[in-house]
Amino acid sequence: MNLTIDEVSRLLKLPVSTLQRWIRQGKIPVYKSKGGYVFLEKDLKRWAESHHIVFASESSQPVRRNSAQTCSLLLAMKKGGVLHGVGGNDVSRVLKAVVKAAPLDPSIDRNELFVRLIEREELSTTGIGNGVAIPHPRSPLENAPLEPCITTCFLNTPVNYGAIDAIPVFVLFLMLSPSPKIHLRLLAKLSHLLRNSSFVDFLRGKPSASDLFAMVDEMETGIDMAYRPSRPRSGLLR
Amino acid sequence: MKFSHLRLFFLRTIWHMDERLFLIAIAIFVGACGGLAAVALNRLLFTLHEILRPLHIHWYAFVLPACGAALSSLFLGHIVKEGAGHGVPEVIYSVSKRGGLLRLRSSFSRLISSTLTIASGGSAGPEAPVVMSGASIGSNVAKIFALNDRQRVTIVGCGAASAISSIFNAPIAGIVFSVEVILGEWTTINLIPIAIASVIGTEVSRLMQGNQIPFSHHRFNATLLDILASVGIALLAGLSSVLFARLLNGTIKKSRDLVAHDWIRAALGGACVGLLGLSFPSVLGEGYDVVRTIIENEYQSGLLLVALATVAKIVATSLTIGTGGSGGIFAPCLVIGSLGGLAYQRGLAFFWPSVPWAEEGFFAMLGMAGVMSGTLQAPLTGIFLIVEVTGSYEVILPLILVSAVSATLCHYMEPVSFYYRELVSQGQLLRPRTDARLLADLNISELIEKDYIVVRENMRLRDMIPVIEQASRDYFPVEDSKTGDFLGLIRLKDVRPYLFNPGLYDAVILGEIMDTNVPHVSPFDDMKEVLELMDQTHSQSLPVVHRNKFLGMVSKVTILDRYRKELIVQTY
Repeated sequence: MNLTIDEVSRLLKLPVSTLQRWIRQGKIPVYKSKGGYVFLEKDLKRWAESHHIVFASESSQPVRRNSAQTCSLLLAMKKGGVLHGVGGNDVSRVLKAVVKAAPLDPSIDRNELFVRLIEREELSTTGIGNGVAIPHPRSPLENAPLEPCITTCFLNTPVNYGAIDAIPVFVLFLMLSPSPKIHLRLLAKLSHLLRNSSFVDFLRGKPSASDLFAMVDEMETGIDMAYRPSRPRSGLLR
Repeated sequence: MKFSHLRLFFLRTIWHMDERLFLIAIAIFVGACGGLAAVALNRLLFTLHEILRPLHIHWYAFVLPACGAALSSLFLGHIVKEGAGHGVPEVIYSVSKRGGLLRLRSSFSRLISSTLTIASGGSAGPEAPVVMSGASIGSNVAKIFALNDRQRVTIVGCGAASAISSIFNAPIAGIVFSVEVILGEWTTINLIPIAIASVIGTEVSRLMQGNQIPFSHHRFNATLLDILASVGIALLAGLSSVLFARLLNGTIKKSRDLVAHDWIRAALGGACVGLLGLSFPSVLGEGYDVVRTIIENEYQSGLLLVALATVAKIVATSLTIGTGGSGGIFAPCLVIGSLGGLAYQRGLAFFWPSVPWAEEGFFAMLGMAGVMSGTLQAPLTGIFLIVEVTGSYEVILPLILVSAVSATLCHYMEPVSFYYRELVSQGQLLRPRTDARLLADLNISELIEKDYIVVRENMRLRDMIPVIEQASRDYFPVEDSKTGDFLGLIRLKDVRPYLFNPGLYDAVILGEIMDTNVPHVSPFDDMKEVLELMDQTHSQSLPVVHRNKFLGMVSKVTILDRYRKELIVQTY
């Protein structure tokens, strides 16, 4: 396969000017053709290997980065769905009921998930106060799907969850993320929403799924705007 | 489509399997040209010498070297517009700094100027000019074939090797000289074409001038005592080399201060040489005749006269080359060495007449090797050249001894050889795989990182928070909000304490917390200076600023990464 100098510059993570110098100095295998310089991938790979230079392959990387950057709270919540009337009167029973009823990806082992959730609760409570808890496993599940999901669970009766402010918990957000990075992003957004007391009051009314999503959509757009002020000029853009 | 594939395949084949073959093919051509250049110079010198010979008997003959040197200087300075000097440092400079690029006119300019200098009686050698000529032919042939720097340098080496091989009828000396002095690197990829060029160059010279050993002799019978005595000649040769080098450099400096005009300076130098030649005719010209008579044990003068002649030759050569005459120090080294060796033998015979010392030629030969190795600081070149030009392999042991001792002594007293002196003083001797070479290749425009977010001095600390959230770097350059000039730098670690104090968010503007006293570099600075500045200021990163505008940063981390890559790709 033929590669252009720009492609090679990306693959070797070197500036084009360095490659041009290497060509001039005869340090890298290249052929001159009518249009300019042509690199052959096979030769270049062999050359990189013999010189212990890292030759990045182009696929795989960008996909994950994309999902990390555009992780939307709304999409995750839609994927996770909303449960009303979850029963149970202590943490373990509530979580059991949630794990059982949540519309999870079939690849997830529910028993395993339950164990991991309990483990996390034992380390420190996920009840973040104001009657809200965000149970999640400490680290991503082994075969977690690439898309994160958040299941919103309204409890029948508020449960003493050992929350930091000791207020009984009335709503759970079961959060499953493919990576710690995405987990943090979603958590940051969700906690930002929950800091708004009117949103918590709205939740106390146990809204329907469509009402909830509409509300989240509106608020998330607000956060996104706030998080991206008119982007300051970077050196890169010059 | 089909055609371009075929073409690519063809080029690939040449590159892969046959980059070497390709270079060898070019080497053959360059070798032949280099050989021809040497033969041409030889013929030119001989002819002009014959024409001028009748004049040398007159008392006014001392003006001849003056005219020759002046003409040569005028020719170089005004007609071809090249600097004085004998050529070898220019070739080394080109190899280390310009990827072997040389001007086409260099292929003949030094031939003409050195003919004028030497044939008129100036004390200099024809080798350096012919090296320059061969190298320039190589460089220009490489240009025609659009070779890259690495290949061009090899071909320049081929030209130099073939020139030396051809002029001395000494193929090994040509190879060794080219690799040891010109390129400074032995690799299989450059050695083979150079060897081939050397063979071709020698063959061209043999076809045109016959296969003769320049200084033939009968066998020497050296005893163990002679070998022991050779340590003495090594020391003597080493000292003569140091004296020669210092006198030469001194003359270059002093004469430049004394006389401003190039050609007048060369003429005065030439006149002095001419006057010296009235009492010591052996100092005139390239002096091969003198070497020949000494090797054949036929030099008549006594001990004192020979010793004086040695010094006179050193002075004459310094005057010729130091004032701007054109020519090399190869042949003078041989003459100084053989005269010194002769004096040493006469001295031995004078003090210990009962010992059956080896013949004069033997010590003359050792002296030549010693002065050669010492002055060029290239012991291998000295050894092989003397073995080849005298055809005397039987004296190889004392020869190696003398070359090694003399080169070591010279290296101790004059760490930089005459060829490299100017380059080293300007920091331009860049040998392959050295720190200087790697740093010269890297430059800021290749290392600059631009993914920094620029902030403005009138922004409040509150506005900085989202910037920090987005940034992947810990440095934030600050610009003037009106002019866009670079004002200073904010480091994350400096502002971290205030980030958690919301009371300060609106009370502080960035202009108040930035560091305005930041050392910075320009995009055209040498990497050496950049690294020195980093060391002095203990910084890991420095901003790159051009015309008061921030362009990016250079960091030690990136430099290390690229430095290592440069080092790796040095070996193709």
